[in-house]
This record gives sequence, C-alpha cells and structure tokens, in this order.
Amino acid sequence: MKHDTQDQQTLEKAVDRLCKQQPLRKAPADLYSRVMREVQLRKALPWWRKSFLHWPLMMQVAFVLAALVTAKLALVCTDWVSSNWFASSKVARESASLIQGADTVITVSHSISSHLTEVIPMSWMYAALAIVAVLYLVLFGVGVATYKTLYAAR
Amino acid sequence: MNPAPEQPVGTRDFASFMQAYQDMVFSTAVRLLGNDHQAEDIAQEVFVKAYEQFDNLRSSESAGGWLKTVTTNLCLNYLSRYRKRWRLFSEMAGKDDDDEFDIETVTGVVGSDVVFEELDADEQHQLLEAALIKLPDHQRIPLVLYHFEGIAYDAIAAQLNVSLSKLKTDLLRGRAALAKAMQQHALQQV
Repeated sequence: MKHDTQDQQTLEKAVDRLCKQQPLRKAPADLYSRVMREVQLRKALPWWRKSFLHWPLMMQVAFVLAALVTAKLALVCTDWVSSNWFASSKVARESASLIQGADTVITVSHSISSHLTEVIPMSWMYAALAIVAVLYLVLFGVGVATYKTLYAAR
Repeated sequence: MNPAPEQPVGTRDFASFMQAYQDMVFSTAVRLLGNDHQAEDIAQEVFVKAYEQFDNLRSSESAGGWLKTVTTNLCLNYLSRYRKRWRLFSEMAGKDDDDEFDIETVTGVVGSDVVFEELDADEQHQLLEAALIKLPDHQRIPLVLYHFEGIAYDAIAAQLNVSLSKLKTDLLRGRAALAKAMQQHALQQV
C-alpha cells in the first residue's frame, strides 16, 4: 500500500514536470483577422439582435415598462376571468356541454378501438409492433453510428 | 515551462495584445478541448470578449489571468453543452467509464520519469499532446487544469462539480494513461 502511494507520487511529479516543461501551442496565424472580422460582424448587428445590455437606453426602459404592463395585464385578466367568467350561468352551461362532448368523443374512440381489435387479427398487431420496434432500433443505431463517427472517433 | 506573458499591457494596441497572449489562450483551449478547430473557435470568442473589455484590459496587470479564466470557462461550458447533447450515446458507448487503466496500473509506469527523460524535447511535446487528445474528457480536463494551469484540487472539483475523491481518481488514471501511452511509444522507437 505504501509502495503504491510512493509510485503515485513519483508519477505525479514526473507528469507535473513534463507538463510544466511543454512550450505553448502556436495559435493559428489568421486568428487576429478572424477576431476582427467577428468584431465587425457583431458591430453591424441591429440593436435588437444584441444582448439586452447593449440595447439603447430608451429601448431598455421601454422594454422594462412593457414587461411590467404585460405582467399587470395578465394579473388583471386572471382576476377578471376568475370573478366573472365562471360565475356566469351561460358559461357554466357551455362548459357542461363541452364536458359532455368530450365524454362522447372518448366513448366513440373506445368503441372504435375495441371494434378494430376484433376485426384485425392479433398477429397483425404484433407484426406492426415488431416493425415499429425494429425501426426504432435502426434509428437508434444510426444515432450511435453518427456519434461514433463525428465525436467518439475524433 | 509555460511562459504566461504577465508584463503590463500598457498602451499597446489590440494587435500586439493578441500577439502577446494568443498562444497561451490557444494552448489552454486546445488542451482542454482536445480538438484544434474547437479551440480556434473558443480562442476567437475569448479575444472578441477581450476586445469588448479592452479599455480595462490594456492597462491591467492581470490581463493574462482574466484571459485564462475566460478561456477555461468557455471551454468547460462548451464541453458541458456538447456532453449533454451526446450523453445518451456517450453513455451507451461506455465512453465516460472507459477507464483502460486501473489504479494498479500505476505500478507499471513508475519508471515513467526515466522514460520521459530519454525522449528529446520535441518528441516529448509531440507524444504528450497526442496522448492528451486520446484521453477521455473526464481525465484530460482535470489533468490539464491541475498540471498545466496549476489550479488546486478543491478548486477544480468545485469547477467541475465532482467530488474530491473522484477528481483524484480521474487524475491518477489520467496520469497513468498518459505515461503508459508515452512509454509504449518510446518502446516502439527502441
């Protein structure tokens, strides 16, 4: 155990010495021109495509005000809906008919699906499920192959 | 050595500022990312940020430190975004847990100091850079931050959001992998 620790320390010192001795890697010769080109591109962007901190002061103030007004409006609307909308009997009746409609849709879809399971043989169902599973696996395999080609094998 | 130019920038213009620091920024980025093209993009982004802050940086004594911090942060952000995107496949391929070297392997590379000494400086440089690129991210990043950038264990652990014990294990395995790769190459040369 003590031997292992000594080995680890020896290795650490050796790697540390080696790393510290290394010269810097040379940056690409065109880095300066790339940076200046990017700076010019960003300068040419319209204000609304820059980050908020770079917007004109007037626009920043207007945006904050608009956000506050929107928030207030949302609160007022919510309050109005809860106090007036659901209290109205007409709306309540409409809501009830909506619920009935939804119930009918569920009942009909249930009867259609049970009818289909009677008509379509189960073997077809299993075959369809198997095809979907195979397609899913193929898609997954393509994903893994893409990962290995583009990233893992870099 | 890794000569980080720490002399005051004074009234130098941006071109000479970049000239002074671009190799340092690029080296940090390429070692952290293990990819030249991505490192070029990150170096570009670092200097665009530096350009925006140039009024403060031109007379700052700590411009080098600022650049290193920004470079490291941008690289780690990039890697974390990239890792999240590919995590599913990465984990399926077992890449992150693909530790080819057990702790015990360290005992097999104790003579690494001797082997390193036997190589000339150019060979050492080429071998080390090549071996670094081959290390998995979770070994290469702490290794670069600790040995090249000189950041302390606890600061690295906090930055990478891993426990101190995991960090030390990754570092140990990374060093062993690095030394083994270099030893193998040196033996092939003999």
